[in-house]
Amino acid sequence: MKTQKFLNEKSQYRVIVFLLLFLFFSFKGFSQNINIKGVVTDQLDQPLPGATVLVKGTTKGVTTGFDGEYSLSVTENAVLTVSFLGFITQELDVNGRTLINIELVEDSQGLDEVVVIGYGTVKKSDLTGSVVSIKTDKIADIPTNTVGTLLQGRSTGLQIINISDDPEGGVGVRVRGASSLVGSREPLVVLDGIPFGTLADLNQLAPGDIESVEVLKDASAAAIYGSQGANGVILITTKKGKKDLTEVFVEMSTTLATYPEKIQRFTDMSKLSRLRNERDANDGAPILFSGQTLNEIYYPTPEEFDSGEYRFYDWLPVTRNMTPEIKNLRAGVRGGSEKNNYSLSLNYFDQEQNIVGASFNKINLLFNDAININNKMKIIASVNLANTNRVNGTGGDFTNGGKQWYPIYNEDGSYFMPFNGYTHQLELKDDYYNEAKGFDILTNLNMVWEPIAGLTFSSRASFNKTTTREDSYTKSKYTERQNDYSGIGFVKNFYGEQSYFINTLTYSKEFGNHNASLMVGRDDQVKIGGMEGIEGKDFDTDTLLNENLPLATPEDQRIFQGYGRQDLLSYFGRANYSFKDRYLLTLTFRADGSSKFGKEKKWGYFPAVGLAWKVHKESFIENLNTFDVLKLRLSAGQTGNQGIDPYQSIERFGSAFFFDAETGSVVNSGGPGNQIANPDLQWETTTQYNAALETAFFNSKLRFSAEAYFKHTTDLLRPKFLPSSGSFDTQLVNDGVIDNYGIEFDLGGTIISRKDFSLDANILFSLNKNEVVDIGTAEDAGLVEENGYRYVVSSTGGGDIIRQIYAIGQPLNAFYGYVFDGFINTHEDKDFAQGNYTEFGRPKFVDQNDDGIINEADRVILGNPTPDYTASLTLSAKYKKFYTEMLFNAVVGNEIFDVDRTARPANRLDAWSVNNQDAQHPINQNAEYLPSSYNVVDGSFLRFQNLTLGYNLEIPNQNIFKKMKLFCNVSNIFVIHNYEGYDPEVGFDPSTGVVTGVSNSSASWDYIGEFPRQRRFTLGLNMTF
Amino acid sequence: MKLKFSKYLLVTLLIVSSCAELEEKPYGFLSSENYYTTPENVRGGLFYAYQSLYRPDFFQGWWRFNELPARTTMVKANDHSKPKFLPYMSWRVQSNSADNNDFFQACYKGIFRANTVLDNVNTVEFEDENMKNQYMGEAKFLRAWFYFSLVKIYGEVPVYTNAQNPGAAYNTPVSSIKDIYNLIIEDLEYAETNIPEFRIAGRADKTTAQALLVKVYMHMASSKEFGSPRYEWVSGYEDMYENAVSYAEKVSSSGSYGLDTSVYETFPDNLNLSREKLFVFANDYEGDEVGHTQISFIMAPYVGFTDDYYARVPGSNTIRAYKPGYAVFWYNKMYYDTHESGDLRLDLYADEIYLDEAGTEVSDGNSFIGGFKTYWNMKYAAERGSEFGIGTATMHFLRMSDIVLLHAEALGRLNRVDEGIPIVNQIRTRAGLTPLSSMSKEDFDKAVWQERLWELQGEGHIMTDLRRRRMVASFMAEDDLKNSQLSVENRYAVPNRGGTLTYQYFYPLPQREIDLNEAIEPDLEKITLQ
Repeated sequence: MKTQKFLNEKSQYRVIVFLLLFLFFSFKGFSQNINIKGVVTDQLDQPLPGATVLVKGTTKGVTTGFDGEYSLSVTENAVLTVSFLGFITQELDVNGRTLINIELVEDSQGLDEVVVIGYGTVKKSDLTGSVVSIKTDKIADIPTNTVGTLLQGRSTGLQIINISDDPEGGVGVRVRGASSLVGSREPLVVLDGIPFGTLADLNQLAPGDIESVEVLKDASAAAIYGSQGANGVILITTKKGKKDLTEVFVEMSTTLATYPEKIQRFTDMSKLSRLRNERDANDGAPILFSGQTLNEIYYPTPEEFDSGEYRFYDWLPVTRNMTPEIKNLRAGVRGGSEKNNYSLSLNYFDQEQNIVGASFNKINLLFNDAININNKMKIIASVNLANTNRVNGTGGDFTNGGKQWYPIYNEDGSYFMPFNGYTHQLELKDDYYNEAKGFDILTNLNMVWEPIAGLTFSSRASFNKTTTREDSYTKSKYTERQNDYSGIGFVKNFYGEQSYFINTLTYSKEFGNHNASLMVGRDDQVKIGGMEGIEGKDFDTDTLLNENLPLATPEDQRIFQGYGRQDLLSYFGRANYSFKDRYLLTLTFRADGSSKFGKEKKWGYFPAVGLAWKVHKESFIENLNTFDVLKLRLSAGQTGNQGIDPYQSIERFGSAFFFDAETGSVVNSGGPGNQIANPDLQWETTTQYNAALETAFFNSKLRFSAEAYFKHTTDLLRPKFLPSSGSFDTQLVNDGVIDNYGIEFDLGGTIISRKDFSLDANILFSLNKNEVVDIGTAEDAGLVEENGYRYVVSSTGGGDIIRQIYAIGQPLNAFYGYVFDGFINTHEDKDFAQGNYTEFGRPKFVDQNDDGIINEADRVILGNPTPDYTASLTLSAKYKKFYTEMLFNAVVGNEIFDVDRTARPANRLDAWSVNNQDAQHPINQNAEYLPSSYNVVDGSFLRFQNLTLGYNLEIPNQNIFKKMKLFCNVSNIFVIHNYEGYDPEVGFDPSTGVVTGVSNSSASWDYIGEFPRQRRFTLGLNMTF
Repeated sequence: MKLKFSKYLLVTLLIVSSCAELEEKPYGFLSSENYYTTPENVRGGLFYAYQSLYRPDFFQGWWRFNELPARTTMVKANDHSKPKFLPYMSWRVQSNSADNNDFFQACYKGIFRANTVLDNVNTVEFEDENMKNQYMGEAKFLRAWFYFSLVKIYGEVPVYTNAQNPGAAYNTPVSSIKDIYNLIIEDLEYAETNIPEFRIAGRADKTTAQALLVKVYMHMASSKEFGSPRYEWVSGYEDMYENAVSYAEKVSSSGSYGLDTSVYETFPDNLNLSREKLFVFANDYEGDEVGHTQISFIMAPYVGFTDDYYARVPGSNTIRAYKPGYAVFWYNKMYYDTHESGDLRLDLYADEIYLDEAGTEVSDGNSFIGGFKTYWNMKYAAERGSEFGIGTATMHFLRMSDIVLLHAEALGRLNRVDEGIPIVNQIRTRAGLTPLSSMSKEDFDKAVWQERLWELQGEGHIMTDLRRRRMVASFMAEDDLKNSQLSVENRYAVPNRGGTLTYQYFYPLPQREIDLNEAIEPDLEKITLQ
C-alpha cells in the first residue's frame, strides 16, 4: 500500500509542523498529549467518510476514512470540532477520553453548510443577502436535459415557466418578477465561478453533474455581479472529487412519456364535414364538402361519410410518436488524495421527439481536477465537452392537411398517393432533412495561492467555444409542390467564443470578537458570436442532398454571415465584518465597463450593503430557550441590466441589394438608415431593498423564514419614437420605471424523525407584484391611445389587432380589449356593434363610455399573465432504506389569452345559431374577432409535478458494489385547472423571452394548435463501486 | 525572496492588466466611420437612395393615395387589409389613418439617403468630375421626386436639405409650398444639366428630370389656373404651361425615349421592348432576390397558393401562365364600361382567367369576387416570379403617355388646341380609336382628360390630377351618381360614404409627426379646403 505509506509520511511531517506551531503559539500551559480515535456516523449509524475532525483553535485535524474512522493526537482537555457537509457541526470536550464516537445530526436547514456566493463562499448562517441554496440530490431522479425544469418549485422568488417538452428549451426563468421591456429578463447563470450567460445558453451540462444551485435574489447578494445582476443570479456548482473517497458510479434510467390528455379533435367525419359546411354557409362561401374536386382533392358530401363510402383514417399514430422515450446513462469516477481530487463523468442523454423521426441526443464529458501543488497553492481545472445532435422533423400534421378521409397506405403497404403532387405526411417526412450538430468545449482553470494564512489569491481563466452546424435539405418533390424550384439545401455554422479572466484577492482575519474579510477583484470578459452559412436551391438531382451546394443554380446561391463582439471589464470588492458572530455587515461594490453602451456611459457603479443580526445569540433570546435561530437581515443596493445586443449605441448604416440594370447585375448599396447612435445609452438600474426574518424552533425541526422586497428599476431601456420626418422609427433610450415588490415565505418542518422513519415537509410561497410606473411621454412611447390607463402602448408589436399592452399602473403585457357581452342576437345589437363585426352570432361588447358606439375607446384592461402568487409543497419521507419525495406546484391568479377558444371541438358544438341563441360560443364562421374578455380565461393551476420513490441498498465492504439505488419517478402526474386547453402552463415566447400568457395559436378548421404535455415515467438504477 | 517579490508583482499585474476593449467598433456592418471613402461608395449610397422606392411603404402608399380615392380601382370586399383602404376610398382620411405615416416617413427616408450622398460627395476624390456631378444630379432628382410626392399629398411639410444628425431632435417647422417647389425646380434643373441621357431602367437621367419638370410645372399651372387651394403664390399660369410645354417637347424629342408603337409593348410589363418607361423600378426580371415590387401580388388573381394562373395574352388569342397574387385590386367595371368600343386598351383587363393553357375555367368563378365583376389589371401581370411566386412586374412612376397627355393638355389650356390634337391623337390612334378633329378648347380639354383616365388607369396619377384641376368634389359627385344608378351587385363596397369629402386637397400630416415634432401644429384648415 504505497499510498498509505505516503500518507503516513505526510502525516508525520504534518505532526512535526503542528508540534512546531504548538511550541510557538501555545504558552498556556503544559498538557499531556493523548491519542484518541473513533467513528463518525449519522443518525442512522451509517459511517460518514470525509468528515472533518478538528482541534478547536488550531489548524490541526484529520478527515475520516472510508469507514468513518479517525485517529488524532490531542491534549487531554482539547475541544474537538466535528463537521460534515449537510450536518450540524458538533463541538465536544475530549476530557481525557481516548475513544470518542460521534453521531452527527443531519442539518435539515443547513445552517453550517457553506454556500457559494459571487466570487467566494460563505457559511449559510453568515449570509446577509437573500440566497437560496438548492441541493440537487433531491432532484437528481427527474429525467430532463434542461436545468430550469429541475428548479421549478424549489425556491421562493424563482418563477420557472416551462411550456414545452423540448429537450432544449422553452423554459422561462424569472427571479422576483420581470423588470425590462427590451433587455434580458433572465437571471445571470454563473457556472463554477464563470458568469456564463442565461440558463437557456447552458445546454452543455448534464443535470446529473450539478452539485448545488444557489439563487441570489437581493442586491446584497447580486450586486457583486453589477450590471449583470438585476435579474438575479443563479450559481451552478458542479460535482467535485472528494479526498479519500474513490468511487466509480454508473447511473441509468429509462423514461417513457405518455400524453395523459386526449387530443382535442373530431374523428367523426360526418359531424366534422357538416360543421365545415355550416361554417362555409355562414361565411357565404362555397360549401367545401359538396362532392367537388378542388385542386385535385375530392371533398365527399356528409352523406357519403354517413354511408361509409368514405371514412376517417387516423393519421395521429403514424405522424406523432405518442410514447416517446428518454434514455439517460451516466458513468464516471470520483476520488482524491492529499495531492489530487478528481471527478470524471460521461453522460449520454437521448430523447425522442413527438414528431415521428425527430430526435435529440447529447453526449458530454465533464472532468474536474484539483491539484495541490504544495500546501500553499492549488490548481483547479475543468473541461466539459458536449456533443449534441438534433434531428428536426416535418410531416407531423395528424390531420393530413385536413384530408383525413384519405388513407395512409395502399393495400400493398406503400404510401397512398392519389395523384402527382399530393402531399402525403409520411412522404413529407422523407423529403425533409434538418439536423443540428453542436460541439462545445468549456474550460476553466483556477489557480489558488495562499502565500500567508488568511490571504488568498485566485486567478481564474476560462475559455469556451461553442459550435453548431445546421444541415438541411428539402427534396425537389416537396419544393416543386410548395415553391417554384427543385430542392433547397443549406449549411449554417454558428460559433461562439467566450473568454474570461478573473482575479481575486481575499484576506480574512479574526481578532477577538471581530471577524473581517475583504475581497477585491477584477473580471475581464470577451464574448464573440457569429455565423456563416451557404444556401443553394434548384438542383438537377436530390441525390447529393446539401453536400455539394455549388451544384445549385448559380443565381440561387446565397451566403449568410454575422458577427458580434461584446466586452466587459469590471472591478469589484466585498467587505464582510462580523462582531461576536452576532452583528454582520457586508459591503459590496462593482464597477462595470461595457462595450455595449454609449461613448458617454461606458462605466456603471453598483454598490450594496447588507446587515444581519443573529438575535438568537443574544442572551435574552438564548434564555428563552425557544429559538434555535432568530436572525434578521436588511439589505439595500443597486444592480444593473445590460442584457441587450451589442452595437446598439453606435450608428449603423443599412444595406440593400439594388438591381443595376446598366450591368444587369445585382449590387450592394448602403447608407444611413438602420440605426441612430445614442452616445448616452446605458444599463437599466435596479435599486432593491430587502428585509428578512429567519427562525428555527424545536432543535431546528420547525423552520420559518419570511422576506419582503421592493425592486425599483429605472433608466428602463425602451425604443423612443421619433418624428417621422426624421426618417427613423425609433431610437433606443433609457427612459422609464418598472417596480416589482413582494413577499416570500418558506416554512419547513421535520414532522417525524425516528431512527427508521422520517417525514419532512416544506412549503414555499412567493408573491410578486409588477407595475409599469413610467414609460416616457405618451407620444414618444408609441402611444396607441390615451384612456384611463394613461399611456397605453402595444407590447405585442405590429399587426392591426393589439391584445397586449404596457399601461401605466398595470403589470407588464396586460391583456387589453373589449368586455364580452354575449352575442349579437337582435337588430338593435347589430346597429350598436362595430364596423366589420356586425353579424348575428358574433360577440357583442360593452360600451364602456356610453357614447352609443363601440370603438377603440371602449377597450379596458382584461387581465395579465403575471400570477398573483406561486406556491409549492414538497413532502419527503424515509422509511428504512426507502425514500420518497412529492412536489406540488401551484400558480394562482394569472390569466391566459386563449386564442383558439372558438376552435375547440367541444366549443364548436355549442356555437351560436338562430336556434341556439343562448350558446356560449360565437357563430361557426371563419372569423377573427377583436380581442375581448371572451378569450381571457383563468390560468391558475395546481400541479402534482413530481413523485419519486426509491430504495437505497448498502452492501457490505467485501462486495463489489458499495451502494445501489433503485428508483422510479413520475412527473406531471396531474394538473387541476380551469383552462379549456390541455395545459395552462402556456405563453412563454422563447424567441423574445417574454411571458405572453397567450396560448399557442395555429388552429385550422379541424385542428387545435396546441399539443398536450407529457407525463413521464422513469425507472432508474444507480450503482457505486 | 526575489521569487516572492516577483510573485506579488505578478498578482498586481493580473489585477491591473486588461484584455477587454470597451470602445465599440462596427464589425461587419457599415457606418459613417467606414463608408464614403471612394466613388464606388458614393454610387452605393446613391443606389441606396434609389432603393427607397422599393419600400412597400412608399410605392404602395403612393399608388393607393392616388388610385383608391379616384375609385377607378376596386378592392376585394373580404380582404383582410380592406379596413386600411376604406378611409381613402371613402374620403375619410385622418392623421392616424393606416399608411399615412408609413408613406410620409418612406419619402423622408429617400430624402435622407439622397441628402447623405450630397453631404458626403465632396469628401471623396473623383477622377472624373462629370461622374461626381452626375451622381449629385441623380441624388437631387430623387430628393425632388420625394418632395414632389410629399407636396402633392400634404402641401406644407418640413424641408431638410442635408442629412441631419439623426440623434438630434427633429423640431423643424413646415416650409411653404412655394419654397418646396423652388427647391424641387432647382434640384431638377441641376439634374437636367448634369446627368447625361443614358436610359438605364431604374435610374433617372436628363430626360427623366425633364419629364418630372413637366409634371411639376403642370401641377403648378393648373392649380393656379383652376384656383386650387394654397397655390395662389404661383406667378402666372400661362408661363407655367409654357414651361411644361417646352420641357415636354424636350422629352418628346429625346432620342432614347418615345411612345411604344403598340400598348402591348408596354403592357404586360416587358422591360426590354418598351421605350416608354421614363422612370421605373430597377427590376430584375430574372433573379429571385431583388426587384420585387409586390405590386403584381396585390393586382393578380388567385387560383391557389403559388399556383400560376392562365390568361389570354393581351392582343392575342394565346393563353399563357402568369404569376399569381392575392386578388386584392382590379379595374372598376363602371370605368371599364366608359371605354369606346374597339379600344385596344380594354384587352389590358382580363375578365376570364384559367387553370391551364387549355382554358379550363376557374371553378369558383374567379371573374366575380364578392359579387363584383372583375377586370384583372394585366398592366401588372408578370411572367416571372420570385421564390414564392410573387410576380415581378415593374411600377411605372413616369411613362411617356403621361407626358404626352400633359403636353396636349397644356397646349389646350394655352388655346393651342390645333397643336394639341395631333399630340393626343398619338395616344388615340395607338389605342385603335378614331383621331380627334378640330374642336373647341373646352371639348378638347374634356377629351384629353378622358384620355388620361383611360390611358393611365391604375398607375397612380388620378387623384393628384383631380387636385391640380380642382375637380375633386365634382368628379366624386359624378361618381356617386353613377354608382347609385348601378345595379346593387355592381356598386362599391364602400360603406358610410355620406357625401362629405374631407381633406380633398391635402391630407393631414401623420399624427406621429404632429405629436413628436414640436415645431408643428395640426393644420385644421386643411380638412375643409375645396
